[in-house]
Amino acid sequence: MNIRNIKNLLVSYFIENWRRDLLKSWIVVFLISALLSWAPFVILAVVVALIILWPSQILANATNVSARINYLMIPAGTAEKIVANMLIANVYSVIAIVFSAWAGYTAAYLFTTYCLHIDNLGSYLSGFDFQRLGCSILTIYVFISIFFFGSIYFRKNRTVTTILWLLIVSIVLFVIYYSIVYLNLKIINPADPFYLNIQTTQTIAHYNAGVIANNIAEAATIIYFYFLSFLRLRETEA
Amino acid sequence: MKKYTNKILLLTLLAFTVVSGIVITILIQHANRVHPEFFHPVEDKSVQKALPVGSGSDTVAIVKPGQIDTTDINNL
Repeated sequence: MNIRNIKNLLVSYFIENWRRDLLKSWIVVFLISALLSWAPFVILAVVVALIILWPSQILANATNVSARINYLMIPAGTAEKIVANMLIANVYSVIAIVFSAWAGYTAAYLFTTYCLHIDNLGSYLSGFDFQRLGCSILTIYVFISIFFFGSIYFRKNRTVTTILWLLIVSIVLFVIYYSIVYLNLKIINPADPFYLNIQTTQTIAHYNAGVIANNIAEAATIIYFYFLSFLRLRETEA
Repeated sequence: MKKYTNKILLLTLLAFTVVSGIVITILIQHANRVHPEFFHPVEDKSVQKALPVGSGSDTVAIVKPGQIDTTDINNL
């Protein structure tokens, strides 16, 4: 893997896409400024959704014939292409969206406060909390890696197809896990499987796998999906 | 080059489902062993142990009129 090749790939990406990315950033600015009066939870959810969905269109290697030829003509190895696009998806696009969202929010806040003299919007940047979304920053990177893989794996309508497959897999896994838990509870208490002593459930906290185990699992998932993306790219190249 | 991605995806999903299913089963069964009161009502034996032997409803006190000791609550 050559670092100079990765740098050249990044430079070529910026030269080819800076107009489109600038347009996207302006859309984010206006979207977030329009959402100013909404709850911080909604604004944060929109920003997270944008961060996750941005890389879902990143690698147009198999969408059509010209994209395939264009991809194969790039003088770099598969690993270099993956690393360059990983940097774009995980660093560049996240910074671009967070900065655009912050700029839109600040501009709208200043405009409504000093020009329209509206002072009932709450304090500046208050209420933005990742814990309220029920996810950590690492979870967002897990979804970025999944949509990155989806952008390589599917050929047409990549974002929608990835979302649909995520929904299908989630529903199937939910049904399987629900059945497993129900069968276990049925074996333990055949008369009333849904019986759960609420007063003593606080001690169930002992059975939490813990934050560290959760983070390790998420990191493993990220590595897994980037490895799978690499493998899929090698297959399509062959 | 052989195409591995589909197989790896399917196998991973299958292995993940099976392993996590086994882990969930072990955790629930372990929780049932350690804290059975989570899953079904358990008779509180500590109260029964605290009572003196013979104080239950199975014993019948045979007393003559005027011999009842009203200070002993068990005989009432």
